[in-house]
Amino acid sequence: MRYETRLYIFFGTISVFCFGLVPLRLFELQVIHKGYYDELVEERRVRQDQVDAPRGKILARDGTVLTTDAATYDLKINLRKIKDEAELIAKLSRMTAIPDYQIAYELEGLRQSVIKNRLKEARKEKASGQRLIGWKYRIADHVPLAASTREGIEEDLPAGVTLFEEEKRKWFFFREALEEYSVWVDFSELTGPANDPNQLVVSSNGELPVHLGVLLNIESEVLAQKLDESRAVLHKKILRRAGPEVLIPNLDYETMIRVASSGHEVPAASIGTRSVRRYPQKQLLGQVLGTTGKPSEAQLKKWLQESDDIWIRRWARSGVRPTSNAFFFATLNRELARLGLTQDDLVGKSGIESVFENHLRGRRGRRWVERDFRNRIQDVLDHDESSAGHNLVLTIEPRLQKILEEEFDREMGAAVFMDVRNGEILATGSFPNFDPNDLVQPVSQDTVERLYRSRSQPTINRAFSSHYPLGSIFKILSSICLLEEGIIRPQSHINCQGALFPNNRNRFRCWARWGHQEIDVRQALQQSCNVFYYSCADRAGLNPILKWAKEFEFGVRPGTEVRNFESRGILPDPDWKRARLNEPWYRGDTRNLAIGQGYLTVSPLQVVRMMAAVANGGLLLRPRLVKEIIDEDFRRVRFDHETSIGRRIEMSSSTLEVIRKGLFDVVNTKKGTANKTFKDSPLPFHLSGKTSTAQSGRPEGNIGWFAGYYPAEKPHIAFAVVCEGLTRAENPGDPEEHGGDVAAPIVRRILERYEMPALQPSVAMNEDSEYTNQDSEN
Amino acid sequence: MLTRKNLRNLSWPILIEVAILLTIGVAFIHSGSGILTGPEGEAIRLARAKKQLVWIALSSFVLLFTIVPSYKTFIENGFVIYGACVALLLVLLIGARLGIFPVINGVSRWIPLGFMMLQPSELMKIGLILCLARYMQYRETHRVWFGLAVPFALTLVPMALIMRQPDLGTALLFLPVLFSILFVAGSRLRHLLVIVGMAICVAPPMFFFVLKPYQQKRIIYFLKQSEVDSPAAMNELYQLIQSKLAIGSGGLAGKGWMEGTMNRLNFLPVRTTDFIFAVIGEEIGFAGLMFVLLVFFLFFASALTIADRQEDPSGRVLVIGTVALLATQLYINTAMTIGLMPITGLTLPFVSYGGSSLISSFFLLGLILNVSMRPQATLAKDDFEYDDDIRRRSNERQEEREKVLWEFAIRKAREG
Repeated sequence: MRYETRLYIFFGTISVFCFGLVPLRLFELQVIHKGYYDELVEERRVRQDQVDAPRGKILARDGTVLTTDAATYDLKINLRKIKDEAELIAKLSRMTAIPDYQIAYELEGLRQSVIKNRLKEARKEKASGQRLIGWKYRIADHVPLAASTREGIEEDLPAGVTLFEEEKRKWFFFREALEEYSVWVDFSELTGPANDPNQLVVSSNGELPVHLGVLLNIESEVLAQKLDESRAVLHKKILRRAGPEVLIPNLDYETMIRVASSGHEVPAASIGTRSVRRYPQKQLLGQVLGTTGKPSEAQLKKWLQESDDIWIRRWARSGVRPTSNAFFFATLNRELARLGLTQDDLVGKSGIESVFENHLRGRRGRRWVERDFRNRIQDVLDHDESSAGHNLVLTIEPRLQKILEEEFDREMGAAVFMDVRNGEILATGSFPNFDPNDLVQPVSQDTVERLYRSRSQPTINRAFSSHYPLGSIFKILSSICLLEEGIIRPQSHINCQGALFPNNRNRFRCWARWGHQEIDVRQALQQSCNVFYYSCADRAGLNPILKWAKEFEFGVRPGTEVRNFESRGILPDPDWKRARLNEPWYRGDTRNLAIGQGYLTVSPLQVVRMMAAVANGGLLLRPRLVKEIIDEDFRRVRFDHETSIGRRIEMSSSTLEVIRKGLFDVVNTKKGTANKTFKDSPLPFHLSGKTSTAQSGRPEGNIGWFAGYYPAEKPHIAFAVVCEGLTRAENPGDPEEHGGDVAAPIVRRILERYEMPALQPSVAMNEDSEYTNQDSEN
Repeated sequence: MLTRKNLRNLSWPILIEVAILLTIGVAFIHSGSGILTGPEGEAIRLARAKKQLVWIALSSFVLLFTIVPSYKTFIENGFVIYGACVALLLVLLIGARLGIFPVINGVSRWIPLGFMMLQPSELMKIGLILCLARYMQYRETHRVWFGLAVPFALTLVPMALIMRQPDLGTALLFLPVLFSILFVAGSRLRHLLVIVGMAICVAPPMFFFVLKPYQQKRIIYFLKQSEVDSPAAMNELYQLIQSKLAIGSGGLAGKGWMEGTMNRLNFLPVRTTDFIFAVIGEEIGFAGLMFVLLVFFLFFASALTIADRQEDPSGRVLVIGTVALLATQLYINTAMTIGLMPITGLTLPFVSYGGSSLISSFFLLGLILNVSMRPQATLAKDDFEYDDDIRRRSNERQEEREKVLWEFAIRKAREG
């Protein structure tokens, strides 16, 4: 072969590789498969973000804002910018008026939590196959091991610990029998010795090094020290990369301004804003409005019932999850995003917030952004508008509500005020009440303790969700029943001798020791005579009473918008007693039912409905909390709720007349049980009502009621007030509190302030005198 | 020293081709340096590009240094230079063992000199070529089996030292250089093929017994690159996947200069040095890459034209070795970005960012130019012109002669 030929062959060979194979492969990648790679690149490049949509407001009937989305301000600290920590603490302490030791404590806690979160995240990322750099640390060098030993201990190494074969340390052509290894720890894979998922950081209790030390024949102290050193380096690295983190949440406005305006003094501090649910009226109507929180799994499933993705649909319907966690969560989030939701959204957890979730929740917008490899936004490519949630207008009359909450002076109880013409609830209170603002994240431990663990359970809406023994107020219903069924006539008289059986005075007593003598039904209501109803119940039997109780929908949810949270109460009948107590129904049970004692329990809402029905001539109203729903631009939104305002109960007007007269007498005549409270009232109208004191059987004490309506002649508003924990007479003759002494004054004070705003100063004086009156009487 | 005649003989096409490659390099170093967006990013880009220009200027001085003395001077000192390079490698190896030189991730390739990091393996490439040229220039021993021992030994010793660093990629560059030089200098193809065959037979046991587990893993993942799904494999192939995505999405015409998303958004790793080919592929597409390859093709063609014209054997070896080195580097660098070769840390000559890469490429370029400037005419038989059939023909001639002699003897006997 000639030199030239060889040169050509050489050039040919080069060309085959450099200018043959490479271009062919390039053609395959760039021309044939371009579409495939384009798709993959877009997947990496474009991220879909969500744009927050404000949740709807909840307003009172006059537009007072009860609940709204608001920004809250957090003091954030950028850990990596801290230069002089002591100085920073001193400055922050001066600005926020928080003691310096507390700031120092919070700062340390923040550091720990940043590290903990990053470790957790890293573990997740690792599990989902992401590439992590800088998490591996060498904790031992030149560990001599025979190859066979190494294979043997490979399985015993804790997760995250790897052996790496080293270059020979000795002069390079002298081979040694033992291989040398370096020991590496990957902190993103390391799991703690304890099962605590947060305890990723090992060796604080020395367990890992001991274990490893034994395996590798190294002194465990040395290993532990080295591990601690590398961990310290890692922690430093994590803290160096930390962004601004919340140090003190929920700053008040003045502090926020102070910190923001002197921000140049402390470059590490900044103010972050965050959207939360706010309740400007504080505790007003707290239990009805309800709370918000992150969606539960059940809630997520409910949303995703009709999802397009087969895996998610299957999960939502039957709870079967795909095996890969990463895949599942990615799909879940994508499907949620499609619906304009996220896992971190606020959703209603109770009360109105929960029932009107679909209206209140805004629809999130989407935003397609270009991101870089660190997931930082570089550019916004496209977006999809978000829309705010609808606003609810409640039927609540805020002034009455406020007065109610101020004037209710018992520790526990509830009250409802309802418009007798259309069933709108004007005010409702449950006591003790609480400020829902306390439940805005982050919730402090003692708030949880106070709200959820206390016996008085402030978060329960007692007016709707609790049921109490009713007592004498049930006599109204018994009277209607007796009159309507023709068992008595308005003029019928019955002789009350203080007990149903004069021979056995201990059972079926009347509260008046020596009886009311000859009384008719109107007087029986006025004086709340038990014996009258005992003997009538004997004559009528159980069924008519049950029929009329059902007519007034006792034992049934009253059906406001928040009906899921309403209590049914208990309307006892023989079947119920058999099922519940496994006892037959005695005649005594019927008698007790007739005066509202025994097993009967009702919610204040049910009572106020009955009162309203009496007041408006027999229309059993459906109570309503929501007046209307309006959208962002104040246009009315139709909402699919029942439109009927109630059901008419067939009663003769003469019956109603008798009942109304009886109720009028309770308040306004001398022998009436509530007359004591109202006889000197300056109210410009008459009130009708009925008091009641129910034996609760609970250790807290009796239940006192006052329910009624006003004005007596042309009723407008019905009300029911219930107080828990009335003192009971241990022995006959001890002082005992009655509904008329406890609940009725509350109503009086409320009405005086609400109906006579001009006379408020005098009302306040009256209040004082009333307290002294009560004291002297008891 | 330079004379006017030398300059007249200077191969201008090569200079033009290299200038084009350098321009493309600076342009894509500018595009590929955007770590940040906005004005700060622009400042970083400009700084990077300027730095590369400064390196080009510095390298030009190196070029001057390599073309002013005759290449013969280098070749005369070939063994000395080779010895110095091997000594440097040894110093590096021992220094790293003793902990004098930095060991980064278990790898020690650099000797810190204060103002720069010296990479002895880069020098070794040049040293090896000079040394082989010096050795081969007046010999014909490489035409027999035993004669191959010395060139192979000269190559394998530095290779072994570099593999100890460890730097497999650079070490493997030496073999194509050796084979090319031997082949063009006239070694028998038969011998070379037998050696290659033996190497292939030895490869599988080498794979299992010599390579480190992480190196084995890398090769296995590379071979299975189309079916990766495990996180570990993804981790291992991260760079390859990103670079394939960049090149593949570039398409026929590319996304435009400074517009490549994988580049701009930082998805592509080490993209101004090892993966600049991917940046070019993403931004100016298949057409652009073809242009770059065309320029390289012309560069090699011009270099080999010089080798063809040069009649001095050492000059020929010098050019062949240089071309083989640059071509191998070109192939490995381009092939690794598209998944034809496992990823090693080799740069694209003249295009990639980096001082030491540029300086060594310019040194090699200088050698080629030097040879082009000093053509040597020889009156004797062309060197490396071997007649492979010489023995058969001489036998035939002998037989013929014997036949003639026999005939002559027979005739004589008949007559006499």
